[in-house]
Amino acid sequence: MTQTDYDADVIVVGSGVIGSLAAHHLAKNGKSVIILEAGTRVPRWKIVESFRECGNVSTDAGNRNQPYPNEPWAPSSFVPDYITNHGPIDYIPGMLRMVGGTTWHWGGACWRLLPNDFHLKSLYGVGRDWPISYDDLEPFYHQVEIEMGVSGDDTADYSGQNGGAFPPRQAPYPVRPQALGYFSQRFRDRVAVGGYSFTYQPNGRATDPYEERPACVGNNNCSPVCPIGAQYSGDRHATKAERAGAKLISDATVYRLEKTPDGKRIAAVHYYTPDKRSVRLTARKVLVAAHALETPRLMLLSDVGNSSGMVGRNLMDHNAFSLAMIADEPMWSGRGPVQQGDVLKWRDGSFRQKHGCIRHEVGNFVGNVQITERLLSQGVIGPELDEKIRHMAARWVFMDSNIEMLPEPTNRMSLSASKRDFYGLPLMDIYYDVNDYARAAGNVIREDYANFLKLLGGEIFDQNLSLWENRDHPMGTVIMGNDPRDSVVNHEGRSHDHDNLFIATTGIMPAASVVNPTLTGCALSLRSASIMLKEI
Amino acid sequence: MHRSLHHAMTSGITLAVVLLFSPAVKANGQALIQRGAYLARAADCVACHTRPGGAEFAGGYGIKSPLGVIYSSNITPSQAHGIGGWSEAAFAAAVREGKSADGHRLYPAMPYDSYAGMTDDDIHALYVYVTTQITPVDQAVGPVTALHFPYNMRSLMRVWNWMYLDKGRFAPRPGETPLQSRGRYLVETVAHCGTCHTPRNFMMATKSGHKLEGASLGGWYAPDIAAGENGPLASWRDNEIMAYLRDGHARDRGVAAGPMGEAVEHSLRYLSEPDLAAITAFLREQKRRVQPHHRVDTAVSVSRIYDVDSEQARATRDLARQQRNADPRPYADRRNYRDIEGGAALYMAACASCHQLDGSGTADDFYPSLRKSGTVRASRSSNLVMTIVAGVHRNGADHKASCLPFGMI
Amino acid sequence: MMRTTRRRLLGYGVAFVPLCLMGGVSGPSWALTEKEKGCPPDFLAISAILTASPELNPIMAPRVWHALITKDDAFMARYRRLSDEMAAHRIRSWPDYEASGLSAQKEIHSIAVAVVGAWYLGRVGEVLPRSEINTPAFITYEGALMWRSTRDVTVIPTYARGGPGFWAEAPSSVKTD
Repeated sequence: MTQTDYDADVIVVGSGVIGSLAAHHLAKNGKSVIILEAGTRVPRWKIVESFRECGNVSTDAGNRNQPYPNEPWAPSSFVPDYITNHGPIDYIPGMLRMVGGTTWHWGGACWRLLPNDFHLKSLYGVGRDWPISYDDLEPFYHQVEIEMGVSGDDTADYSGQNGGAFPPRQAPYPVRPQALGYFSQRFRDRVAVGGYSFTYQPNGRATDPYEERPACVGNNNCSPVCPIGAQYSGDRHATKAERAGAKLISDATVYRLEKTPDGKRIAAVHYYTPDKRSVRLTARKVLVAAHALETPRLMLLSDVGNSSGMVGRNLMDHNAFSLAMIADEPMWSGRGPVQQGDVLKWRDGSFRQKHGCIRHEVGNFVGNVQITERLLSQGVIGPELDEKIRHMAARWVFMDSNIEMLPEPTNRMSLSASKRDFYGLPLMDIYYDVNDYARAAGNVIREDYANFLKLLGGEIFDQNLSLWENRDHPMGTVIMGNDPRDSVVNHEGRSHDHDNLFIATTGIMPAASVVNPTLTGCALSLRSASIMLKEI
Repeated sequence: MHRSLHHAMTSGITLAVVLLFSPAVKANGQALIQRGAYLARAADCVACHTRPGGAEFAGGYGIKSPLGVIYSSNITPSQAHGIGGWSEAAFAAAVREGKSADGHRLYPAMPYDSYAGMTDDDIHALYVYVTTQITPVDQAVGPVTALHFPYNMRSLMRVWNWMYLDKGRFAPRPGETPLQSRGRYLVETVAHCGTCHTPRNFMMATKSGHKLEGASLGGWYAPDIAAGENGPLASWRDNEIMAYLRDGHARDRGVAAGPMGEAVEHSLRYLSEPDLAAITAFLREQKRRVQPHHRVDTAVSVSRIYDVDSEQARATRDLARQQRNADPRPYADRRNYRDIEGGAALYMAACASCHQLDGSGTADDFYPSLRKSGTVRASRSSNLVMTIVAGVHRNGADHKASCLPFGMI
Repeated sequence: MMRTTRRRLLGYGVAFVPLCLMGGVSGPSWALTEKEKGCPPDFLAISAILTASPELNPIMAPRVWHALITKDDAFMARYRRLSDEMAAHRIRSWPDYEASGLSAQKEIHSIAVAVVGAWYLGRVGEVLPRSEINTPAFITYEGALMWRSTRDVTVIPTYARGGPGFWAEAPSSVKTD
């Protein structure tokens, strides 16, 4: 018996950038789409107000989730008991539940992977190969960069080898680079003496007005919220998807994917309303884009797609260390966007046989908060406080480093045996640890930091070389691969177990590399949507 | 301005103006085409004859009139669907008399009642430009204009034209300087400012005797633009009027948004400096009697030093705090935006990031002053409301201006 | 309340804390909470001395007080010790405080730092990056004094200085910073 009446051609679970891009693509190509979003929808000005009134968050610091809606049926990630850590390392990424998702409070970094990132195992003998290559994904990187308005340096060697423009692109970046700030110029010049290059970070900020977004004027608050929307956020495509005909239902917490009796397909999607009413919707195909943690959670709750036992496993991030210093010259961090560039010395190379690749992301945010706290802790008050704030803020240099993690099945998210959510469903346990591959890279970072301090004549303000900081880049939890025995989705993002179920999240990435995964997740999503389109 | 410099500039402008008007200059070839292109910009043909996202001059743009939607025609030189094959006489009749080549009457949404004054030389240049330089678009416009009875009877336009169409070609008047003359030609004919700025009577004709006194335009209001004695723009300096037209904004005066923003973006920013000066000179000739409610600008100009803790900034913040304290719950509720009523608090959240807490704008005027803004201070609130709802999206000669629309959610 | 302040502080030598700070300033026109009402009359003046800022926003004082006593049950008593010491040492200005040796008295000085910290950070309490519970008591964002010494060069995040690209040029003060 075939079902011919569906509520939609496609149900998309999650209205973040990854889900909304796919929904928009499907809707503008004439398919009926329902987007189900657990959270609510709030205009930007309200978030700006909540940010300023919060008292617990500042530019690039504090609780980034807190200005955003946080409902019992759609909790953001720092709610107590939402995630319980059982491993040696605390892992709780920042994550939002609302229309537009977590790109509301990202730093806007929009990287492509490098060709070599797709062949980690074949080239360097570690980790996993992707089942696709850079060339397979390039056309979708291209499209997504236009959709999001990505700004990048067409002359940059993003492999950190100081060669010609790389990786290869079919077309230039749709948005020209922003001007390098005085801070960035000085940083670049000072570290160049030590053989380090500073490369413009490709990003989702409008250098000039782009579609409906105004140009960035340097409000220096990209994370946790751009007050004017110059920086791309996922709500843009949620709105575009709706304009293209998609129907977005908010305050709809999807809790179950219902399988057909033979278990081969997904028959329906079930969601709860805030008053605990259950609604069942059917579709020809389902795309789950519910973030790298909630996606496997949903699959585990539904006992869906897990013949490999890999759902929730292979959790990877880019955990690493950070350095804040007071340099020996006034460079004035905090003018322009919160980050402008990176040191990519360890982006790729044969060393990846021994340790993960490394990216030093150079901050460009105002240091007033941290500096003032420090001076107060030293008992400084009176006029000296203002003088010292100014002196140190002018010389503030901050960087946080990212390390490539390898997929380990023991690094995982699983369902909690005891903690329940608003609907009585199990919340999440996480076990997370770093291995020697990452620790070896950590040693390299230690040396680099010593070099940076010397090159910038810096006094350490804070140096962390021991705590593995989260970078909010969860990957691997619904891992992609050719072999259904050790992967959850195939190269199309399609579940090995249910042929009308597609998964779109950074969680499908089988190799983490060292760059923010959002753009890659988006390109993969668009690729899956294109494949779905041919089958509907 | 120094007398001799002023004299030299006026002479220079006069010369330029005389040259533009001189029939002896039968420009040929490139010069003629450039003149035609310039006139097409000044007359802003592209704005109405292009559908958003559509091919230029290919028509299909729906002009919302009180009588219904009027769709513009394809004026590319397409043989099948445009004006390819039209003679210059037919072109002139359409532009100046509202008569299409196949005989049907145009509605004055096509402002032929303004263009009626265009000189033969200018019509010629425009004709050559349109028929030789614009890419033909061989596509039908699509939607057809269908007004309600009796307005669908286009033959009635004859009656309207008899009553309201002034067929006189432009000619300089005695007592006018060449600059004022050129300005009158631009304002009343080519750039057809009166189409928006002159109020209309019940027959949708512009009211004679009330030229440029102001009129409603959808939700917007095109204000009185008299810059002469007692006029609303009397206190503006010449360079401010010209900057407004060219860039779409003048510091501490106002910005062009909505339909005027479009006029700047598609047309006025391309005008030459002498032409901007001419328009200004003509507007200076528009005088008004003293109006009883005529307001003197009492807004205090506040220094634009970047400071969120100045006295005026504190005034905004303290008022917002008062509003939040009076009814804390909607503010504290992170998903509630509909029940927030404090104007100062809303201003802080939605506007102050750019326009600053004291409303003075930024030092570089990239974000203009709201304190000194003519729109904010106008007695009619139409334009302020429309700006908040629709935002500003204007590409002037100096930069693209963008104020976010707040009317969506 | 303000009249009481003026009378009380006449003994302090009001010359060092300009009258404009207190004279003619009405309090906030909204109802104060109980905690805010308890703001000591000399709190604004003492804050002005310790921050070396005569131009503190008087309307902010009750909010600062409220935040301090919310986060520390013992703060009222601690504050009294500070204000008593300052009175005993006849401290009417920042130079007085510096010269008094009170900054070497850890306990007293820590209370002074708490007061200054509240004004500078615009909150009282430690920021908790992964919690929404027990987070700082909020006072002000724009009014935080930590921004004022850098506002000629950088932004207060979410408040623009102007159009795009200003950051490419060196700040005009860089030679003397």
